Amino acid sequence: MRALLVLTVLLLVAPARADDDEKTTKARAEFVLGTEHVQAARWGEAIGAFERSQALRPHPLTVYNIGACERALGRYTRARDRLRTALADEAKGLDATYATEARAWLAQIEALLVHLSIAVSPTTAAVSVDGRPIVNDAWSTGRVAGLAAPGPAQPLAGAKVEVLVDPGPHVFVVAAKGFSEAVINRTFTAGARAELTLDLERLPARVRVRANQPGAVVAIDGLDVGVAPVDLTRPAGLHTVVVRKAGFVSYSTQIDVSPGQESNLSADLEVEKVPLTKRWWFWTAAGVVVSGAAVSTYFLTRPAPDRPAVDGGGLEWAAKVP
Amino acid sequence: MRRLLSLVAIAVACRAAPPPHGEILVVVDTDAPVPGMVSRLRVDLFTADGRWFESREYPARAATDWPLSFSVWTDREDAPSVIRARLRAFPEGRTRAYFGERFRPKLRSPKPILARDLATLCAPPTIELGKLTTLRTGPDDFFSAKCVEAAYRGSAAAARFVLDAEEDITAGVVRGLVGSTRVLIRRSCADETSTVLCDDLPVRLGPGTYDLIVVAGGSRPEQRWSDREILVARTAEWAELARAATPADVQGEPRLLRDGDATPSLEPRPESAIDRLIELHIRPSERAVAHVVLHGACAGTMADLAGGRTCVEEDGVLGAVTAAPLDAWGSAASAKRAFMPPAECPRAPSEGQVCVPGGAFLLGDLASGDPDTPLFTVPEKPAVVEPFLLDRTEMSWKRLRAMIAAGLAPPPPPVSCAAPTDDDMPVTCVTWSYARSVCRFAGGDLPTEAEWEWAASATIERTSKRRFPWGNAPSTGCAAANIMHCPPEVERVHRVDGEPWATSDRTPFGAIGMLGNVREWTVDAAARFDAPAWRGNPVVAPVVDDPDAALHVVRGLAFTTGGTRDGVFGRDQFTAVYGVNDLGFRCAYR
Repeated sequence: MRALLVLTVLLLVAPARADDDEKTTKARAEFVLGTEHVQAARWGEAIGAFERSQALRPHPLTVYNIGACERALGRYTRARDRLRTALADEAKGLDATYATEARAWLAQIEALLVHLSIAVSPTTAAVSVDGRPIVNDAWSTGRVAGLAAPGPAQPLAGAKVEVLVDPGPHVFVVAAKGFSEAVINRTFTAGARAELTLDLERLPARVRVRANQPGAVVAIDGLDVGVAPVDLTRPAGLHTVVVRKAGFVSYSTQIDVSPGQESNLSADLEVEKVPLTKRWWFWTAAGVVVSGAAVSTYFLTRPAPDRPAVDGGGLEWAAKVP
Repeated sequence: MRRLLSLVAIAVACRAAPPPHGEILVVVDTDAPVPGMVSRLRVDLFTADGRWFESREYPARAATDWPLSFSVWTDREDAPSVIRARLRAFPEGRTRAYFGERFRPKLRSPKPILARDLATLCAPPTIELGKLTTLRTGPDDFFSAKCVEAAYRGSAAAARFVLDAEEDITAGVVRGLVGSTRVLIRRSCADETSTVLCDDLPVRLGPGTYDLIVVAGGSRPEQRWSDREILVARTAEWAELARAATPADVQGEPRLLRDGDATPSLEPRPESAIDRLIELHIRPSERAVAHVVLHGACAGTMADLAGGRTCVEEDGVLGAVTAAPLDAWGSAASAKRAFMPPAECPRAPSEGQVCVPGGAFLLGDLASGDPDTPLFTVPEKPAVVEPFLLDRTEMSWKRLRAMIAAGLAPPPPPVSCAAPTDDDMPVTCVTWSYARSVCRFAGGDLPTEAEWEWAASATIERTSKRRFPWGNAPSTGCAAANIMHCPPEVERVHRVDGEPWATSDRTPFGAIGMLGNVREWTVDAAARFDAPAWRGNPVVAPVVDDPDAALHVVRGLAFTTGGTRDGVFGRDQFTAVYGVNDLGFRCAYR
């Protein structure tokens, strides 16, 4: 391969023309630097140099060289992408020798790549492989790992997707809102077909209960959990919350909390109305009325009766206009 | 004892009784189903000059809790007291933080014209300067423009505006996908050389007619196929108008001041509350009754407190607030109007159909879905569906083949689906338009999203909804429905009426497989419930009717999908022109 790369250098460097601009000169210099790195097997540095050269003066040969270096590094998904790009631009100056070579390498690479079928639950989960998001493959309908720049995980847009990955060890990070993050290490042999099921565990939910009365007791699903305000963690799902205090109507409600959700409840306790006959003073008062018939003289002789009380309706609320 | 007491009573009664205080008993009733649409009443009282002086909220979770009544009274003797009462009936838990009045009229936008070519684009409607306009871009990339720094290509929508004098003008997206949008202004839409503005910066324009073009870029369909609310205004006014259209979450007016700031921290969410303003004229020393019915048709139409306008009985229509008519003290409540549609279907179901009774309910679900997914189940939308007939099962190959024999065009060959192994298997791998053509051939149509959700979730009493065909509690594993996480030998598509799920995955009205087996196409184009397409939808028979949409709503779960937490409330979308092996359909007949 080194021979091929050197040949390429000669092709690109030799026909220096008078009308070369500054860009082309720089591109050539970077290209030469790249080939020097190749000869010393410094593949990473070589890719850097070739990429700078490609940015200055695009040429399928440069892309081909990047692909060759990626292949040497064992980064097959990247190598495949670069070599296919070079072949797609074959007409723009890729010599037939290199095209043939590229095709042979691609056949090798296709046999080495791991075909991974990833199933995620929930389907909205975002997945990254070795710190890079999975992207659409430009050369097939599937997805491919390792191509994108390092970045945050992205949703797969599907419950089950086919992903091409390099053989060897990989770190999968799966995250979804409301679920705990999962980090999974897997190693794949070359050419393997594998399935990976990534099921995330749901996060618990947080329930906060306040009450308008001090000393109210909060019960969740029949269990007393303390005096309001309370702040606790419960599994996601349906819960019954009861807030009670002697002398007040108990507040009872059902909440349906999603994983990771924070639910804030505010219980407004209203004063309980005890029936007249059940109040301790009722019979005492009755006795007083019976014995104190003389009180009636007060009613007969008082100066003027009060105006009728306002109604207040079924809610027993009479609002006075200010 | 008793005799003694009656003597006292007679003695009291014999004296001249003083007049009562001026008082109005307000009797509040609703015709919306309880607790499905309303289960609480919020009362706010304001003086004639707009001062907020009282606020109370009461639970009323049972139909028998209604009507609720309270009174307002005055001890003034000289002149009538006038107050305004704001009555809001709303479902429990549907509240939002109160940051002052944030009035937003219900949208009643006309159906937007989609441009698919330059000729359609360049015959745009004329818009008013300073008024928010919704522009919808279509799915087709057809418009190219070269601006100062970049070339834009994408789908586009346009609007025309007229300037009478030279003005500084700003045009920009107020709501919608701002990032993937470019705004251009041209003197003539089709003439690239007439471009006067290449982005939403201020520009000085002379008098004349201008075409504003919105170019929607981005690779995802929802970026291109989207609604954007555009504002074209004088530069000096633009920011203020845009801010008014998208109120910021700040402490705002009015406040309830009583021994300090007693403003409630929450208020009913306007999109699901029945919001009514009434004026009460309390005459001195007179008692009267005001009967107020909060009509379900007004659910989601916010009252304009500052402007004194309120919905009375017509969806989305605001009228000036009027004095409540007064009845004699002690008069009974007026009869409720029928808001709930009837339960009975217009005709008896044929073989293979079930009758879904009419219903009034909140479409969507507060406790389901994920805000980051394209279609979220929140905010909920008040909706009414008339009774209709629905296929008992998903469409089977047996039924489809019978229709093909009777003249229906066969489906185009599927791209990546295996041939059905059994004639009772559901028809899958068909496009939205083919599914719709099958239903139309059968004399019906695809169900609307509202119809589908109501059919899948209505309880037998029709007053509420439930998450699963069997109730609200999720079932473990795949025992109750054919959904993901079944054992591998079961995890596949199943016959449309196959046991054991034909018994468990069955609505109270007899529809089978609404939850599991395959997902189902609905007639609606995909749109979020907070998008203009839904905000402008009527309460009765809502639908996002757009046959050209790139994405349509699919509902229900399938043997390939999990997400059982959301039950039948989950919303999803799928590309109209593809079919897939876990997506089928059933038909509705109105």
